[in-house]
Amino acid sequence: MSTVVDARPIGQDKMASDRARFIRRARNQIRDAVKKAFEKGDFKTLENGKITVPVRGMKEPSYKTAQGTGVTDHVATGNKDYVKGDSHQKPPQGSKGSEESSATNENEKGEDEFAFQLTRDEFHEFFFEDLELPDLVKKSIKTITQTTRERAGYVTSGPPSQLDIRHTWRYAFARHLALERPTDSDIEKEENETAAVLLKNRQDSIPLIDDIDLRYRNYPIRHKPVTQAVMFLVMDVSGSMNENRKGLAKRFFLLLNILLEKKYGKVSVVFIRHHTSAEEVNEQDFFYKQETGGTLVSPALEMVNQIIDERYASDWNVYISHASDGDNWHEDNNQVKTEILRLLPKIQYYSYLQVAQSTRNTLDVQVFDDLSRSYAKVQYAIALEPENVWHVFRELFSKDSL
Amino acid sequence: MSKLLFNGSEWSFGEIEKTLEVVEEIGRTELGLSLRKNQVEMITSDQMLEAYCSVGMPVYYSHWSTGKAFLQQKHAYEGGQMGLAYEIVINSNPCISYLMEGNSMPMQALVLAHASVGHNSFFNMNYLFKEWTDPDAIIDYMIFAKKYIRQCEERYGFNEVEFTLDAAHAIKSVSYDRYLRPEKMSDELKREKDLLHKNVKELERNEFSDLIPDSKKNWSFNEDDFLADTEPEENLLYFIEKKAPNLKQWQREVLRIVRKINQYFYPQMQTQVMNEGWASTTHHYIVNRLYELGKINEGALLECLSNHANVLYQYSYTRNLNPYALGFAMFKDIRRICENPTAEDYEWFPNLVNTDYKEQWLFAIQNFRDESFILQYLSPKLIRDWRLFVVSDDEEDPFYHIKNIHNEEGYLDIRTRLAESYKLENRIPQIYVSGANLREDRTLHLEHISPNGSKLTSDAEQVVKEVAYLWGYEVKLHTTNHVISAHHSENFK
Repeated sequence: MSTVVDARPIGQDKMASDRARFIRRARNQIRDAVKKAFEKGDFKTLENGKITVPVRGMKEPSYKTAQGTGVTDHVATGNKDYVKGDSHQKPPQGSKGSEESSATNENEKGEDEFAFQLTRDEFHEFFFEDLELPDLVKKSIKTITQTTRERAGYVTSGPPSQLDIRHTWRYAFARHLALERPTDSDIEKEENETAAVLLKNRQDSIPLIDDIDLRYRNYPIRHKPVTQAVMFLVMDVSGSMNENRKGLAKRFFLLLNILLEKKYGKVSVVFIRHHTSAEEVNEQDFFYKQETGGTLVSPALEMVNQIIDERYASDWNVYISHASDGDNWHEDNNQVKTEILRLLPKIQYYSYLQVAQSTRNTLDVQVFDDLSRSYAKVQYAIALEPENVWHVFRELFSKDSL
Repeated sequence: MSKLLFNGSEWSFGEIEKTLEVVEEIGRTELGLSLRKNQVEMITSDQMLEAYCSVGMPVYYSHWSTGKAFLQQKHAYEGGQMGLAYEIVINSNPCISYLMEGNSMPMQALVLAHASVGHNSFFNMNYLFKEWTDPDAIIDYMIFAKKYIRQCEERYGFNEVEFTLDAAHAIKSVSYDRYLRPEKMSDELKREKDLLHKNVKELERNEFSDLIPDSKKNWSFNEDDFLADTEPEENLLYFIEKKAPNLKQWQREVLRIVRKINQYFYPQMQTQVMNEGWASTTHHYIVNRLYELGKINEGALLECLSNHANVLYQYSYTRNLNPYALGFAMFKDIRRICENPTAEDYEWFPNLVNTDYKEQWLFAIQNFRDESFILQYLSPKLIRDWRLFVVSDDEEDPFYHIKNIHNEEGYLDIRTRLAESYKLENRIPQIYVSGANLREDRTLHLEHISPNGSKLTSDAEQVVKEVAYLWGYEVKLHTTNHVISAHHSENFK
């Protein structure tokens, strides 16, 4: 007896061990790609923690005959143009030294190089391996389910307010055509009076709009988790923030971004940089544009406040990450505190990272120390070396601190 | 009650079982086929991709190249650069075939007729498969191979096993026993079963135990035999497994596994046109019969025929002949010659005209492979229909020359050339072991035979290095115009 088996639930992901061996083999190349992605700090390519790794040198060599070498007779199909004894010019690249050209092309293009995507888990493994770090601690940021109504096609019943005239009329018109309902102009044009009356009667017996013509716009209810999250990255770009310090900030921002994307899927990012005044910029300018001058922190926070009110009110999860070398005018500190207090009801979390040892002890640690004692949403840390960033990050985002 | 097996495009397991029963029945009674028991497995597209990468085998030993193939295929599939096959079928007993869950019911019926009747009967009846493969044992052997290689990884480390497999894979495409039939795989299995349980120490001690015939009973290692001047050998993997001076016993076993699995596909390589042509002929016959018997409706028939036409499409001006199309056309032509012979057919196929075409089909699938099938059955009519022609391609000449076209003068030449192109010798390079001087410097000499002067790709140098890794000493590959050599080096990997 023959059998039919549903094998779909069986042996899912059979390739896992082969995939693991491949990744083990391509380790160095993947590590390079991950490192580059991290150093570039390009948020877009890191979206969903997935990156594409170009793989070279994973060739499986074997003995093959080079095409077009030697003397061979081939049988081909569909001849409509040639008779015995005809000849046909070969395409130019295949004329001389064809072995070399075909062979090298094969090396460059063919199986030798291809790109593939790391899964999020694999990516994190490499990502944190590079930092010599243990696995990312799993922790839950609260997610809420929201019901919304979404536009989805047309239905035959619904509230009058959602009646779609155009669609209804389209069906009515089709029905008129099918039943040959006379139009007003047909009746007017009819010269024979009895015929006109008959036409009028026929018109009356076929309604202009029938119940079956009615079409309403459809808005079914959808339950969906709130996936909207926005991350404000605030960075001091005054003269004292050198590349090294910016690098620390960048690493920190990147980690936060990955963590948020893990939780929320997609995260909007707002880049705000400041010296004595604040401005919203794109990613490129945020990380790479040089600035000089002194520092005032409060304008930046004021701007965050303003942007939240304008664009991210109510149903957004707002995260603010702030990096600075701790420079600030002493007079500004109270202003900073006030701004943060204004922010607090609207946001999920405020993390402050200081990337330099406080010398004049101006902004900073003092302000945030006070705040973090009273509000769990505010956390701060100091990181001076790249290796510290992860530890600091972990500290900030460990279960206890949230 | 309707006689229809199914209605509409959604499939259910009940309908598939019923359909399988009916198509098997038609295959057996009307076409006179002998079938193995079928095992039809419904799978997802991801599983189909997985099956691609393990040549259809439900079990395969783990190696990075399989992972690579999978990632590549997945990338191509998800990027829309390739579609998936409708089915994959394995030469095993029971005959396992995979159906894709995404196919419509008429497609499933088509695939059942194609794979579970067509391929199944071909595997079961063709002489090559009967003599060279052991469908009862293959799955068990694959399971053994996977287990053994995992064991080796645990004992000797990932790297060692990986390097050995890499090297074996590099040469497997030129390592076939072409004339000597392999031992039954079931015997092989008995031998291998012990291996899994054997103590490592014992394995090491019996390093050379199986180098000498019948060594299992009276084991005595004869150094002179081992070092004796070697005969030329066609199977490179076999030679290295038996004669490489420094390989560990487990490495020899790994080479043996690669060699055995490789050999299993040897008949498949020689019967592509016949196998696919026969399966297409079968599905075409059965689907039409289902319609005639009122078991499928017009819609289902049309869907099947439309897919049939897509699969059998043949481009013009190419030497890539679609094996489905060529094979199908040839079987169809045999039927035509039997039923409606022309004067030409009386001259060319006196033994076919006015005989029962079904008997001729059965005879053909049992006794031929691609090369001999074409040589025997390719008719002048088919050559004309396909407008076949012979092109001569000389590396040194900037022009292609047309040597023959579809006319009286050309038929025989076209038929011979086409048949020759399916000879394995013309599909894979001929590389054999010409000798190894085991008493002196232990250099292994390989020779590339190329009567038509074709050369190897630049890959060859890399492969020679892989061979040197296994051989442990210098390896020289003598090609038509130069010698490629590589020394064994510890830090090659």
